Amino acid sequence: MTALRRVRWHHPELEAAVVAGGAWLLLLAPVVGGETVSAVHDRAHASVPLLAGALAWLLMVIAMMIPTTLAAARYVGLTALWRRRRVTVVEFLAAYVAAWGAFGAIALPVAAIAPRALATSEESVLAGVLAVAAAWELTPWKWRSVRSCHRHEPLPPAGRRAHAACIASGIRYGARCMGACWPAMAAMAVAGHAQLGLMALLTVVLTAEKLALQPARLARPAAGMLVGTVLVTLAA
Amino acid sequence: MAFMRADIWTLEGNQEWHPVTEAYARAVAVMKTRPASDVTSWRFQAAIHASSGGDWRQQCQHNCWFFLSWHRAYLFWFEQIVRAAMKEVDEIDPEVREAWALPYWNYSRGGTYASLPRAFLTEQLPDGAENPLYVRERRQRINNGDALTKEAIATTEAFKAHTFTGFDGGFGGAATGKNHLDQDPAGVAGRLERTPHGSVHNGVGGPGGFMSLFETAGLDPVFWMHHANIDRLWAVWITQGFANPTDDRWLTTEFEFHDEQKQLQRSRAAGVLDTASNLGYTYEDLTVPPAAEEAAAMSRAPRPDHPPELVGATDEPLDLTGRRTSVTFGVESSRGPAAASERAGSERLYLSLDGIEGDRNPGTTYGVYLNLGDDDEPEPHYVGNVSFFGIEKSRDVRSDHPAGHGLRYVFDITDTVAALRGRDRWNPGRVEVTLAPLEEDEPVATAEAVGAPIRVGSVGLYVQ
Repeated sequence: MTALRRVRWHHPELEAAVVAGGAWLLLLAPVVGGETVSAVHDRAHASVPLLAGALAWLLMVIAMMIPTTLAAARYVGLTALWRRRRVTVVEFLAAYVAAWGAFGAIALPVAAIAPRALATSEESVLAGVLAVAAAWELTPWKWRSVRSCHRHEPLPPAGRRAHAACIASGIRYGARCMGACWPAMAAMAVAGHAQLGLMALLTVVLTAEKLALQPARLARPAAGMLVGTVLVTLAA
Repeated sequence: MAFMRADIWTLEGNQEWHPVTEAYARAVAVMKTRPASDVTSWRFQAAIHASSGGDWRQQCQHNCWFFLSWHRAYLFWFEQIVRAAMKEVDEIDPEVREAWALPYWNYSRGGTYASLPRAFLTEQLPDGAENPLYVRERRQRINNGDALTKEAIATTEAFKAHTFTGFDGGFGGAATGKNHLDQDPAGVAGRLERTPHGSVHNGVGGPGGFMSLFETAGLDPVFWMHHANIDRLWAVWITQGFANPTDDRWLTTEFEFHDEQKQLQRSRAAGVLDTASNLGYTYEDLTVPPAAEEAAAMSRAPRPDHPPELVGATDEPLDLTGRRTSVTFGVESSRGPAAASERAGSERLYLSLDGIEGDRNPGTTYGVYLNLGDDDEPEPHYVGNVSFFGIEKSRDVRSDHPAGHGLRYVFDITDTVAALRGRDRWNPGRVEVTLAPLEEDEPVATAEAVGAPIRVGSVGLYVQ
């Protein structure tokens, strides 16, 4: 208990990591949870498709993108008043997830109509978006956005200004993160939350890119990996 | 035989244009004739510190624990290149060439020693040729032969650090990954890097001068002697029984340089710890600067293992425009593990200047003071200097080396607060922080430096 408390002293982002782990478990549940869980999952999507789709998207965002934010969440936690550490991390990450939620509100409908509008299969659309993601890895704009994600903004210590600044900072951080990761998350909007292998792969790539101190060194390996997923998708 | 790096004032005090100084000048002249693409050229060597390109250059390490080891290796390979360049100059005595080592500028002795010798101030060599040791892009006062200010050359704060790293950067800088300026959010300059390192950069360069900017600092021959002195002060600190990190992340992280044969070489901290046995050189003088003797001998309680916690900070950013500026903020009691330290009266206090950004280093070093009234003597209120060396990279996201977040400086203010408490000048519920330029700015050397403002995102108080 004491050891855990010490870890939490130094890592106020720990609970966010646990929440991301929980999101992964919820996304895994329909696959590994047996027939009953799978049936509940399918019924939810059939009866309230919009709500279920939105929740699934937010779960995907939490599972995939929260791991990329842990360094930023640690910074905002460690530089907050002790009594505001938890609420600061929660507000910052909630605003960040909300920013990705707004992205999903556009990306999900577009992904849903794309195959019909383009008169092609869902797999072809997914392969196309992954190809865009691979190409994006090789552009300078991608890496400027990734480096911008290293930017931290000191926040007011307390009061309503602290809440407002923290939420605004989370949204700005989300916007910078979108500049770096939009094609990968667009691919997930097409693929859906059942594509757990692709989710895991993209989570590892995006987290490594965001946390690396010299991220551009990952450009070619990441692009190569994404080209590989394009080929696998087309072959499937 | 180990080479001995001598104090430039020992050389020039005995003989103006000492052969070692003149050999340095003539080797610099040779390096300046080489194209910038030549790894042994003057411009390439400066670009290793920083450049606007996205290639492998601009590797210098600042605001982190690699600051000292990286610069030691940088100077070592530079010294090999300079010594090799001397072979192209017939006028240099072979004995001087064979024994030549980079001189250091021990400004820490103060007075005349804190000014540059005439060899760096005159436009011509003894034979009338252009003097490559003279650089016009310096603070005019320095090129007139004036001394650096005593605040700029102070070593007392550095020698108060008895650990290499720590929340306030310790002696050598915060534990981070590779950190050109601010890739790593944990980046904090060590005390030696803040002062005298950063303040001497500004003191010599001034607004717009070579020494004030990452990309041009290495173009001033004084840069190399300044860093030789910083390297020497690290060696002096070790002689006081203090220890380097033993962490493998510090010892084994590799950095790339070129030797005099233009071959790529890799250096790491573990390979540069002992200058005599690892690198083949020693320093003429390894005694503690007199002003820092007391600081080096002070006893220090071990720091608690819980993290420092914020107990107060400013609501608004603070803009610095070359004038004295103050800010006040409220402070509350610790609500975390530091509360026990507070109750026991054993807490350590830190002042943090966070998220510092600006387009250009104004070349002005600011002193930082606690609760300084208009009529107060500044010294009891003084906590340290901020110099903003490298700040022009703080928003640069064009390459991986800088990475786009502001500088952070942290000062251990425990002793200052204890002294202010003793004089009834400390209010535990409210703090006033003043930043004041150490010296009046001269007319600026370049238009770009005019009014270069600095924004401090937040000023905060931490307790541990």
